[in-house]
Amino acid sequence: MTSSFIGFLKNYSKDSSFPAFIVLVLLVVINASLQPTFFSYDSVKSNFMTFTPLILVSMAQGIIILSGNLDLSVGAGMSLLTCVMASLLTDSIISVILVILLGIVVSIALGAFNGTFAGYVGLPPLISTFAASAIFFGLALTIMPLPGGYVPKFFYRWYRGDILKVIPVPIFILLIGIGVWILIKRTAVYRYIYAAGGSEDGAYSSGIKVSNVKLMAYVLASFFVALAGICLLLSTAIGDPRAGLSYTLNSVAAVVVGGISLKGGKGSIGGAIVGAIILGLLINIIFFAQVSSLYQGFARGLIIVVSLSLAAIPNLRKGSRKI
Amino acid sequence: MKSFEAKSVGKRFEGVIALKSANFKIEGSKICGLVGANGSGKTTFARICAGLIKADDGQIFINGKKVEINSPFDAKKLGIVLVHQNLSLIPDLSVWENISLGHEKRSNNIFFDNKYAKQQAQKVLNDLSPDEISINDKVSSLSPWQMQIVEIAKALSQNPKLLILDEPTAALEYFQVERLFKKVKELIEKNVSVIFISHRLWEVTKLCDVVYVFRNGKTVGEVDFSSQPRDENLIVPLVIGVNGAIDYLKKAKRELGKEKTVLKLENISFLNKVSNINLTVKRGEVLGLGGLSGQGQEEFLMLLSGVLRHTDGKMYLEGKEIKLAHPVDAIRDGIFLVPGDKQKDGLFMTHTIFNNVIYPRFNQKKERFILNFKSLYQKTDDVISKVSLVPALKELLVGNLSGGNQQKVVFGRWLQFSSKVLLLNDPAKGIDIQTKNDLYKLVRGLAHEGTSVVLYASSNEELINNCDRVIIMFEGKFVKEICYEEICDEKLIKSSLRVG
Repeated sequence: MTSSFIGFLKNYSKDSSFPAFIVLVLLVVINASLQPTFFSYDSVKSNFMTFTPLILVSMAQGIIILSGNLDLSVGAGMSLLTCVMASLLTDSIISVILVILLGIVVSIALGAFNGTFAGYVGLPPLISTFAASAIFFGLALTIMPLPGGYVPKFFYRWYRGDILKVIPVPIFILLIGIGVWILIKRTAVYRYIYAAGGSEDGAYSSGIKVSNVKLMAYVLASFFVALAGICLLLSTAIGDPRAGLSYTLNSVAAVVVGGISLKGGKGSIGGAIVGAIILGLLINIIFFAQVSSLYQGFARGLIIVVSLSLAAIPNLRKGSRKI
Repeated sequence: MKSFEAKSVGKRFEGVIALKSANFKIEGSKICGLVGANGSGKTTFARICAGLIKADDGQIFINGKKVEINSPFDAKKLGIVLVHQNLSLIPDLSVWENISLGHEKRSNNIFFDNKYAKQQAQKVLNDLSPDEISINDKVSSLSPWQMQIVEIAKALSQNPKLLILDEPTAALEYFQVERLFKKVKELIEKNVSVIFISHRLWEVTKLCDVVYVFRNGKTVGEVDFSSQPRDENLIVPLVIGVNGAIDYLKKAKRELGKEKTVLKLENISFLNKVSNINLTVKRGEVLGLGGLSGQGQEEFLMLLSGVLRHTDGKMYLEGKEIKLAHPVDAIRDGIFLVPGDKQKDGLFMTHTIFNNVIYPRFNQKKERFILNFKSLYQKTDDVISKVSLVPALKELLVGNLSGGNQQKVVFGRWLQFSSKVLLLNDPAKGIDIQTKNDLYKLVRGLAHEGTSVVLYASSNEELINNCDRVIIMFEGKFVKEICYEEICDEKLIKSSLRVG
């Protein structure tokens, strides 16, 4: 048992998300020492209530970055989703189910929009998704100029409850996301995403339709954006055109902290999840360390840069340069 | 494939004619060789057949029917598979994932059959290179010859009807080439047609049934071995265009005893790749590095050029100890490296010849802050004329030049400085005889003027013709020194294999 565990660690130490994992362990230790109740059931649950939207949207960003692209519209997309859903929800269960489905459809449409411009029109995603972000934000404002709408009480209370009395709902939604990703891993698209991100020419000459793969990456990711949007709506219980905006760059940071290369083709979605949890814990730690709110951004940025440098250390060790 | 025919296929890149009129025909399952000097359009032709680029004119017929090949997907449907010269592998995927990439079998409509893919990958690799490559390794961790094998395995696993091998043997050892030949001959029995592109004439004469020769983008002749003898001398004149007016002369012996020592190495080591190298190089000496490929020769050159930092030992240049922490240190000391992989290490493919030539000037202390373009243009023109670049236009993008011309640019840009030591990493790999001879003429000229040259070449002929002394490397060590009189093919091969 222990020997297989050591073997696993040995293998995992070569993984691109390993430095992030070390940082995560460190942060958990620090957090637990600052907050004695850290491992209690309630505390874990409330942490995941706040972490889950970022984790899911980081998975989405991870998929897109792995395919060699970028999406600066995920935050605006999440906001738009909260507005659409909050403006349509009523007290009946049927409306809740229909609105959730509609939210997923809207999100996929947004993903397809971005994917079309990145894949077929060939715009640089940095710019095209930045523009898309403004469009989505504008749409959200049209639907809901001010935060508002209606979320039925039973629905947002459900998010604060448990499934089968043990699994907190946010973790349950997260598990749905991870389950979907495990299924995607077994399909052609998964490998083509790595191929397109790793070497576009190589993928093309292997007979892979790179434009299709880019579109698929955005569309698959949009499912995770939809889940993130739903979680965001449930945790705030209000539709807000600005609610998601901070998630865009946080998701990019989480993905990079998690060891995914911004050039694409390298890293794992597991890393994106770890990266998102790291960012979440940072906020926790800064809160419990009673850092003045004036310095919270400063401290957070500093820790991100330090943990990224930590991730670069294994590369420095291999000699002055890669051959 | 019953027949494959290309009629007057042509292609231009931004005004540069890469292919004028290629005519090519295979009847039945045969191995058809394609040879020609660099820039003669072989690779362009292969890429057109595989749908990677679109021909400007001409037609392609398969089994007598005209076909349109506009994309790799069209080629795939027609069963045409190309083994790329510039490998098409994805670095971060494993070997088996790469082998099945683009033609994965699915166990049902959505999910992959990974077990099957692994088995298939293992099966193909077993034929080509038993026990040498693990299918679970990442491609980025492989050496060049291993990548080449994986690239070939990837093509074979697609069950092609027409297999195009573009310079597949450049990175391979003799016994690996033999295995590849065996495999290719098996394919012929399975009704596959093969186009084999190579610079090594002996391989072509040994393997092929028919050989086509391209020169300057045109088909200039064919040799059918069913009616003609398997003789390289039938092909050489077609490739060169004149009747064998190339001199393969060994360079004249030079008395170096009185020359002063330029480079002295003591116990140079790098991790486990290079160990305990002791060496002195005299002024004007051409020192060859021989041995099987991948025995530390390239790492050794990188150590001398500051790309890698040695982990142990000392280096002296003209009696003074030097520490090379960065390529810029080596360049300032007058040590220049002409890299082997020009695509990766040597050139800025999307920039002009002019830019590529002037970049190395920027780390010279004497270069002015505000550039004098007039003098830079002049210097670039000098370089172009020195290496006889055709066409001699400094505004052309390097990426649009042929492989041989690119090599001339890599080499030529160091000619504008006075070099003490010139390091050549397989400079003639994949370039044609004419360019090769031009290059080595320049090398000899430099050596005569007092530059010391360290030359690593994968072909023994280049070592024999150009070196004053050859050192054989094996597993990162110098195992044999061969002096001028004794440099010959037999001796080189025997020492490389450590039998003599």
